[in-house]
Amino acid sequence: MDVNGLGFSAAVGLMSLAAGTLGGILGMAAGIFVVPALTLAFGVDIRHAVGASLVSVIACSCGSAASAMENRLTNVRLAILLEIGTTLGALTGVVLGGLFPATVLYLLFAAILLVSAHQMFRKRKAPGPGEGAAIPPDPWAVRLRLNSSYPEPVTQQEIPYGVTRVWLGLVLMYGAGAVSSLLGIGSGVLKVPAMDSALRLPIKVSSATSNFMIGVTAAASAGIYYVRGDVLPRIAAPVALGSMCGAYLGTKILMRTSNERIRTLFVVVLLGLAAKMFLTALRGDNPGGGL
Amino acid sequence: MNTPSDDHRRLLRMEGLLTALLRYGALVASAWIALGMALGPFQNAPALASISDRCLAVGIVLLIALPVLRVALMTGVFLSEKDYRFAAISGAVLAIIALGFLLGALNPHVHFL
Repeated sequence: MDVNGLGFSAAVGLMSLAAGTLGGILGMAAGIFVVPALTLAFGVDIRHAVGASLVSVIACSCGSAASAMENRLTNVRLAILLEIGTTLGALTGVVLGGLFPATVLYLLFAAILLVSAHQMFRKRKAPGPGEGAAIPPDPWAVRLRLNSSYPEPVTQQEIPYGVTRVWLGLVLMYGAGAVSSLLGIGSGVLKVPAMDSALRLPIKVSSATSNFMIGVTAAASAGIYYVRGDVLPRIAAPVALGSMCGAYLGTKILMRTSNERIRTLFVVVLLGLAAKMFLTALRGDNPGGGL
Repeated sequence: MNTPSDDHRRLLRMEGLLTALLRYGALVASAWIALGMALGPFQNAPALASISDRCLAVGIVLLIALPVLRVALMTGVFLSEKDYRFAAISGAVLAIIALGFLLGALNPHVHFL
């Protein structure tokens, strides 16, 4: 398809709008839908798809991070500390990306889609009152003043929380950063559970802090993709604009739907995408040939 | 030594700055991209086409730079608060991003960077 054509821009923009809306409803960045759609439906080379998707991930993250911060859900100090892990991971990911053949990237993407589907399927269990006490507070968290509090959005009550196992969190963030830059996704799907289980943060704080960090992680690799020429403006522009508007719409919709039914629908979508990416990897053909 | 409420007040100030930077930065960047796309259909007028390309490039570079600016702003705020430990942490994040960018710019044709 002609990348410069109006039809291509419009189609990619609409697809990104849909991806952003889905992402916004589910509370994840659009990248996880944008990369499969660009490679499988539009025949874009996976590296160009990743480059475009990284830009859209930054766009979505900036908007949603600003709103979350206004509600005082973000732990800024914790975020900047963990960003050491994610940016180092992002550099590693970009280096490794050139070594892996596209087949490996497709397989890894299929695996991440399966993880996301699993996460959405699993009922999020509320942490029991005794659960946090099992792990002693981290002395590093005290020294770096990471422990904080957040206003519960419904009751407006200030809820204090502690941070545990900071080092484990940093290591996990390193992995999440590498995956993010390899696949062009925000990898909030990896960050949020990592913060949930390693640092024991309240879920609202984890997702706000993850959203805040996603932009920097994506920017670290998007910069390299850009100077290398893998961010094609004619693809990245409609993807960024479309997914940004979509993310805005998605969060509006999120506020007025009970998402139990949507959730099952998207598990099906994610499984379908995973199967398609897996098959593409197995066939070993490069759908990027068309561009 | 900082009292907790003092700490809280500073945190609120920084969050306000960051919110404004991210929100207005994203708006400005997407306005450039939208302008570039609006000029996109005029491919047969070379002057307009090149303006369109430039607008897109400005918007995309701004978007990529925005989180980096955010880290730079945090470093500045930490420095002004004399919180040197966190100034060092955010400075390290900046250095890592700059390192990657330099490596990428120096070897644009090496495929594994």
